[in-house]
Amino acid sequence: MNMINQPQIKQAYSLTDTKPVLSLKDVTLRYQTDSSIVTAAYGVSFDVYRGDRFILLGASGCGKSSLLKAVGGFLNPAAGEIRLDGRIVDAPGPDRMMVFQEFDQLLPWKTILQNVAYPMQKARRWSPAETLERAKLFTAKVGLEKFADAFPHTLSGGMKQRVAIARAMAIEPKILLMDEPFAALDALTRRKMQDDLLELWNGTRSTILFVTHSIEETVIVGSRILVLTPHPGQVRAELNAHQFAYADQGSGEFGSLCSRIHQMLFTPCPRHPKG
Amino acid sequence: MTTIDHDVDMVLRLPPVRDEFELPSIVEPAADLECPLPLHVRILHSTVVRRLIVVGILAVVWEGYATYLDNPLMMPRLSEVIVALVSSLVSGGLGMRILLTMKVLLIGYSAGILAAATITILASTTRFGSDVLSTLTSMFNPLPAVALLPLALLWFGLGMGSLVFVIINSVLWAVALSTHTGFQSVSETLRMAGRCFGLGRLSLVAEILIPAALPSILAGLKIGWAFAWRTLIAAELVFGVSSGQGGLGWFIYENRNNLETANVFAGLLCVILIGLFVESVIFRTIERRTVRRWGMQKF
Repeated sequence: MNMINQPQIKQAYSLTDTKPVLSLKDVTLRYQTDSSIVTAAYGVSFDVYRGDRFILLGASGCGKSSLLKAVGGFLNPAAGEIRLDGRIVDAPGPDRMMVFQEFDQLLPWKTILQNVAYPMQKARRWSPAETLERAKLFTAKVGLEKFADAFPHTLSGGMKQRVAIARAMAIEPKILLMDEPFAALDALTRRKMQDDLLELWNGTRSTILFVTHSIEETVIVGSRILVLTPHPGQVRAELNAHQFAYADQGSGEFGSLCSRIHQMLFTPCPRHPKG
Repeated sequence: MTTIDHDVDMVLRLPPVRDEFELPSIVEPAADLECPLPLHVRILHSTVVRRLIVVGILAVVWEGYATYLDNPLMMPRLSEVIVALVSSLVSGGLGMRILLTMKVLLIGYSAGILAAATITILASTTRFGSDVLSTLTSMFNPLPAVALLPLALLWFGLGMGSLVFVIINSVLWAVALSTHTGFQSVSETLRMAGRCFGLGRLSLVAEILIPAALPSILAGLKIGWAFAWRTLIAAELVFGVSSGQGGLGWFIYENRNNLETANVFAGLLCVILIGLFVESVIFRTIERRTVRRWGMQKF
């Protein structure tokens, strides 16, 4: 039995803005290694609209994490431009919160509540009292109100990821960047976290840019899917998945979308003639 | 229902088919109970107790060996040393000497830490600063600080200035090196998380790097403290500086000349006790309140 109110989620798609929150135009990303320059992503363009759960999907090494880092402002594009609400992205900032795959993203010297409150204190968008209130609210939203005064090292991996998600959502970023946040979790916890993320999203309608390499996770979590070619990453397709939730997993359409994505990822794509 | 023929080899026998069952999903109230650990386990959990046991064993060995040797000039008994210590503290001005030594030590130590902090912050925010730090450290860290004392006496004269100079030199490089190493080992994820929150360079150092590197910073501070202490006592022993009014090292030196061996041991015991206090009370408390509480350090 799925906890998510599916008609409500599906409904949300007719109500979104027409102007994209995030827009990438012909973005090329290059890494400099000790001996050479490597292209991670080439000429990638896509638009993310408010309330999207936008997935970047591709084989490992296709530059999807690099694209996310570029949106985060950690990596400057070699060509093309990244605009967030019309402004060019050139440095990290609290309007794009990132949830990392690693569990060590929480500050070990702060309690759970302090961890959730910290970016809000730094952003100074709310008064101290409101900040505390919001931190408590979001800690409760991810079901960790009992652990508010515990230190991160006493928590399990899944709980730490919840805190990271609460911390990121509490500050109401323009876009939430998630870099394979559930990849290091066991299958049962991952399944629960996907559900919880959808439920949280249902309450906040945050815009999410989500990187994963799991096709199933893509279709469950995502509303719109960008499929990238293997190394270097180029746009292969953009697909819709907002009509699917976990309960649809057995259905034929769910399966056919999955196998379509599977086909795209695993059959070698023809090169552009201009090469 | 068994389908296995009993004449067949025993090894092939299948396990019996058992009934399925399902229990109501209620948490037993008994499952939530906590039971306290037994008393002796809790006592041994206390670091103070464990350390006192070590000290106690050493004291017993000392007392026993000195009694067996029966030569107070070479090896006074622990009880005699304690009597000498108490009487020097009460009448012989040992307290004043300790205070004098501690004053010089604290001034030198804090100045050294300040210098180390400045250099390390430069080193972790700019690449050039990092080169400066590593070059200077590899040049000056191997140099025994006492070896600079003749030079210091030439520059700063006979007095506190020279002592502070050599102490700074002994603290600075050890602390700077371990702090810098600590900063370098802070995970990239934490740095990126900090920058995500919109922290600038200096606030990144103050709010992310320093707490995250605290285990190695504390290790550096401890090493620096030991170096400073060692350097100071050695300097006092050799030169008896500080314009006639010597500190603890001078006290040890004087009493050795007078063949007051019990007092020499009392002076050494003071050095050891102060070292023990700083290590196991001050640094322990800092560690317990920070790195251990945050789960960055065990035991």
